[in-house]
Amino acid sequence: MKLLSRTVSWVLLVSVVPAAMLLVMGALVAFNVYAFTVSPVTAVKIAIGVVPTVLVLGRGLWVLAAKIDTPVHGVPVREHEQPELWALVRRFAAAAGTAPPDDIHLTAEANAGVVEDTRLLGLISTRRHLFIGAPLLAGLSAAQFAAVLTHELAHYSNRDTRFAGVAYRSRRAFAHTMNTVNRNDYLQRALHFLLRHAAARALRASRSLSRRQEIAADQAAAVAVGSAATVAAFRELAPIAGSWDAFLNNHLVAGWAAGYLPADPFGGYGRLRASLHDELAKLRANPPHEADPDDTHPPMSERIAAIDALRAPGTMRVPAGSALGLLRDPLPLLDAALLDALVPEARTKRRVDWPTLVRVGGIASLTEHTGQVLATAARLTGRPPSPHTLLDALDAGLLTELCPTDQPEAPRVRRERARLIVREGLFGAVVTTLTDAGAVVWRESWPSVGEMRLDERYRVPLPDLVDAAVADRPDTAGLRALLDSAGRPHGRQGHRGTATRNEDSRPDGIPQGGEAPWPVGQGVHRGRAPRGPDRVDPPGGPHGQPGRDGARPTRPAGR
Amino acid sequence: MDPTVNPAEMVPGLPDLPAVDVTRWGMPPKNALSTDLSRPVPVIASAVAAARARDWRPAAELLNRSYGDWAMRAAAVHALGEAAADDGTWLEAWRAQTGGDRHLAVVEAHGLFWLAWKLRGNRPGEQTRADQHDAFNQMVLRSEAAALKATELAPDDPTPWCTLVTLARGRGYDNNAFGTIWRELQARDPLHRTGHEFALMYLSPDGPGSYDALFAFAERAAAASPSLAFLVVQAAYDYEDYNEKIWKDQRVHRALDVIQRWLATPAGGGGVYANSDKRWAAYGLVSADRGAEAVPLFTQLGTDASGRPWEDFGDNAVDVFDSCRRRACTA
Repeated sequence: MKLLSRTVSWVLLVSVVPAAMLLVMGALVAFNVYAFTVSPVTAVKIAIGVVPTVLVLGRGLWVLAAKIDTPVHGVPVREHEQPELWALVRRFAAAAGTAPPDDIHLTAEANAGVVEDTRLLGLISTRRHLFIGAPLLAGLSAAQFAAVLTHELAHYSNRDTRFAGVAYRSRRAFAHTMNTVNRNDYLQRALHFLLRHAAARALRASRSLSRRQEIAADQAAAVAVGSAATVAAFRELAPIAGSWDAFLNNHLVAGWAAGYLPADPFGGYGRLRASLHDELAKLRANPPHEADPDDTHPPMSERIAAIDALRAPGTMRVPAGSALGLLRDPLPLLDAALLDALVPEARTKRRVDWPTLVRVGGIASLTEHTGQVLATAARLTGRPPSPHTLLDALDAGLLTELCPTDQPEAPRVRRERARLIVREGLFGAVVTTLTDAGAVVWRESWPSVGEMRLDERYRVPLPDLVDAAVADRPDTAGLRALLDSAGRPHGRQGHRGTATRNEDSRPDGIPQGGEAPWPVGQGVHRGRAPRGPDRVDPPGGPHGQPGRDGARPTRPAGR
Repeated sequence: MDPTVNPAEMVPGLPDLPAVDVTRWGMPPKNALSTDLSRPVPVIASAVAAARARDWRPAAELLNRSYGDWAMRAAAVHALGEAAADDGTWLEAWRAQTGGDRHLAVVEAHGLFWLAWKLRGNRPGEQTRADQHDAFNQMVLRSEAAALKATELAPDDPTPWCTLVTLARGRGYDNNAFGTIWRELQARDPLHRTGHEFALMYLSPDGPGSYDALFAFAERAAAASPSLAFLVVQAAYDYEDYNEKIWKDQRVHRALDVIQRWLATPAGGGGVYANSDKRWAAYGLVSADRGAEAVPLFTQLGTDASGRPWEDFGDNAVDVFDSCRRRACTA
């Protein structure tokens, strides 16, 4: 009875907006038809105002009535390949009082979800999909995973998903219509006003309804798996999302530009999580509150308190250990889900172990200008391209010439630009040579992407030596000595210690954004304070705002 | 008003910009216009000219002589800084001779900020290469360090603090860091003109957000001194992309009246920043449909098309200046 009344009130509420739209549309058309019978000339005049409005409403209603098929993504998980996972899903679907999904897909997102394909305002469901994020399997225990799963499945038994589809469409139709309304047209502006107020109530009511449904789903999870595992699962979601984001943005793509991907991404993700222990513990203790009023979920802290208060012991048995234990041969499947989420080019990358990835990615990030600068040095001096040739060119006072440009620039600007680029090129060349000679070693350094260290035999501040070589009065002696001694065979290979000046001391791998995140060796590389915000549009210079001539900086969305 | 938009360029057949002969109003022809920002003040112009000819002495003398006249010092350092960013030879000669002093330090810091901009270029972020962003960030850090050093050499001088205010946005200071610098500047010169101008830029929202705080800042400053009334026009200029009606706002019209009265006084009309006030007033009057009042200002500006707001339009600065004065003449 309770379920029925909830369903009825839901359907009534979400149909308010389309019904109002249909009513207004019908009234407008009827009025215009009536006007035509009275005075065709006046009717045509009226139609000029009415037709655009009817079109806008019709378009909005079309959005509402069109069928919605979920674009299926991720890697399909077949029952005969993963019987244990499917058995668990079936068991907990039964516990939640609903049928199991028609298919399961493994995705690379840090969440799980249930979606239905629907027809006719969401009243008819044709297919249910269960999406499971690989990071959840990697980060949750089997019991925690079962709690998340039960929560998602419980939306079925409440008939939430089906009517959530209606609510979703109703909102979408509403938003579409509101965006299409021409605010300069008086009639349409009046319509905008009416719809806004009529729909506001329905939207608010649907929001509180769907919040209640979330709580019902939480209860279902707690009853099946127990309050403790459910709370633990919910507390784990933010740490997984945060660390996964960092992993994707920094570590996974560390060797991307050089053509490499890790052979064992989830092993790396596990080490990243372990290294972020303290930060993740904070997130776990205080789940972040998403203060979005349109969010249909109640605040996480409230949900956790409510689940705790249930003190449910749990009625279902779940295998002990990690959720990965539910999968047969999990790593290839997780890997496939990850590759599926990347651009197709990902499949052409070479897969290497983490130490190799750190090295090739690190060197690639440091040598962006190296080839160009060495080639120019070779051309200027008539010698083969090598670090020594570059140092010769610098000693010959050819700093500016090493970075040819066709831009007309003032002398100091040109020289400083050359200094920055030659410095990077030289640094990359030296690091490459030292790496080849075994004098620089690269290694994993979670949570940073990796670090490089100079063998302790060379107690030299590498950044300072490079600075000296590109100074106005170049001093290349230090670098030459370093390169020469590293090139000589030595008897203590393998004994590598810490040269503190040359460590990359980035505290963690929280995402930097951007497409080529490679912080390795940045501390070494720059040898200076960390960079300011990347890619700023810095109005406030002597030029004021950069380019107001129609090229006024468009800032990234969401700022 | 968007002065760069010429209807005729967008849709052929639409009227072109007013075809007026500005020389009839006593204004120089377009090809005589100059964006050299050192020109408006003759003593600064001659010091900059000497510096560009690699003679540091007039610059050093000017800064030494005018120490305490913070308006003059800020204007001189701004213009000398640009010269230093183009060619630092004269700074090196100066350093070789004196071993470095407070005047050199402040020019050097400001010059590094100019250098950061010149390395970056003034195109929007997405049209700027990664190495240009990198160069900007590195050079801003060097400018910041140099400015902090300059504050130690001249503890009572607001100018290096002004450089820090100038680089605040590019450096990405948070409100606390900015507040600290701003208080230091205010303690040394509460009405510091350039400081206020760049503080307003720091405070300006990134997009169509709320401009209330910006106008509040500008109005507070304008209430403190008519020499800062231009800030209200500057705030309107920041806001006009999102709300053209701002030019009908009474706050803006009041500020335009105040600037015009201020320019009629000896302190306002004869000061180092007279031309700067004239530019903002002229731009604001044309935008606010009071172009006729801007004609005498453009006549007085003569060939000087330097400074803001024109310089914000980069290579189009002269075009914008010219189209603005033509609109004034036809108003």
